[in-house]
Amino acid sequence: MSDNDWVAGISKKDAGRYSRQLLVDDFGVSGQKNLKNSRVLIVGAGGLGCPVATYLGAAGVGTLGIIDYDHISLDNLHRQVAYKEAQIGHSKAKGLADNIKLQNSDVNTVVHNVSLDSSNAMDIFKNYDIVCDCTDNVATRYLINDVCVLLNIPLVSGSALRWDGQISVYHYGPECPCYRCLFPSPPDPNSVTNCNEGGVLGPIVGTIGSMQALEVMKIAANVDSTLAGKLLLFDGREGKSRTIRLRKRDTKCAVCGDNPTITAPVDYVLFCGAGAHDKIENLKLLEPTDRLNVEEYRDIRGAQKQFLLDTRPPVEFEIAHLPEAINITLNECRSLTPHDLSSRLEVDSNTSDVYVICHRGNDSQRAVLLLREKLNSIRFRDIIGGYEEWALKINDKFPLY
Amino acid sequence: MSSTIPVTIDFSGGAEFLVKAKVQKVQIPEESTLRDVLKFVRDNLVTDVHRINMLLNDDASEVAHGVITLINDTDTGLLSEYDTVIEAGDTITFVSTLHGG
Repeated sequence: MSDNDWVAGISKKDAGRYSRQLLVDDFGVSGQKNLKNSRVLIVGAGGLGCPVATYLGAAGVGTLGIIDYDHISLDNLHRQVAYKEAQIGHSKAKGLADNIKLQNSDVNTVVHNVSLDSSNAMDIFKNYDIVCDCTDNVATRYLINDVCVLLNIPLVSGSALRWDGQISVYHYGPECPCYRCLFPSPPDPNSVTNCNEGGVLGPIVGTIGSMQALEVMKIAANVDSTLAGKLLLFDGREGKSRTIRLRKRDTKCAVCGDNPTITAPVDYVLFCGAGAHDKIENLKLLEPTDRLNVEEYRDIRGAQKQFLLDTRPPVEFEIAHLPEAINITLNECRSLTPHDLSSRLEVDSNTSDVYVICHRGNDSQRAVLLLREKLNSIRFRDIIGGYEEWALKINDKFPLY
Repeated sequence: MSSTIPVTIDFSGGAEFLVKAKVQKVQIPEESTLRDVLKFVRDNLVTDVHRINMLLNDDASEVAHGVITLINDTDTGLLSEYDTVIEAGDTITFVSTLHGG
């Protein structure tokens, strides 16, 4: 009897390692082999990218590329669960690839420690079969979409904010729309809230990222019934999800239509009017005479108790505030009458100065513009850089977030 | 006097911050189209009027970029878009798309 007296669909090593998913109907040996032959690119190694990479690595994907230019920070860890405390300050793309390798040394990982833009996207994407959008901003979402269409790569797109998540598969099959079919024009940059401002819960990105990994496995294994042409809405607060049917590919779409006008990546920062990142931009809405820096405010509050208006949402006010601060949100500055504002601030006709503070010094400027119209006998000034600057320059014990 | 029909209007993905409640059961005039519903939402449901541009354009003739409208969980792009006639019992959903990750 020969040693090879059987017919094997898969190596002994892989059969042992992946046995529990080989037993799943419609995945099986062929799904496993296809996954092993697949090259998957994850754009964004954050809250979504961590579970996508972790599950695909564990499941035995052949090649896993990871794009991210950012570094791991302490305030990432609550949701970016692949990272360890000891990795703070390290590159995300490399950190995630290292952890994948520790979990499954058979995965070929490729680290792209770059800021993705129009100049490098085509060269990177062309080496992959499936792309996952795990990014945090609108400009990069359009860039990824266009490059996937141009190179004919299916795109598994996830997003999340606060208690909500959304996932869809774009450009997969002749009738499937792309991101641009749904959203030919980008949203007003002023109306976009990101995780830095709106917050997000870890299990929300965990849920959506896990579902993205599942969609990749279905596409790799040629299982039909993917989320192509559908959008799954997950409402974690209500514990509900629903899947809606999306419109078909728009034959007039600028990139995937029958006569496309976009035949190479364009300038997405220009197109969206917003940077390709989720960082907060520093506004300058006021004259220098209507602003003061944190050192100046420290000195005047040391001399005498001041009126300080704090425009942050109550959840942020609750994290920490200066003891003299009175919480009146930017929206309340808009909607309250002058009389109600005065009584909330506890100012009277003798009050000459009120200082305005917020998280980083943008909303406080917006508030000054509103407040000086309503209470014109008072001089309102904003504190440049807000509590973030206060923590940096005046008191490093102040809880930053 | 024209009669009204009961419908449900719900808001998701952040659009709910502009209105009093995420899900609202309301009466709208019979034969209303989706376009009429946009104006109904602007005139009757939006409470945060300063940020209404997150949901609707200036004259409430279309939704803002980045918002999808559904009727009974179907993209109105598969129906007659803004000309779709609303029927009694329909659920009209405004979904703001998320960008975080």
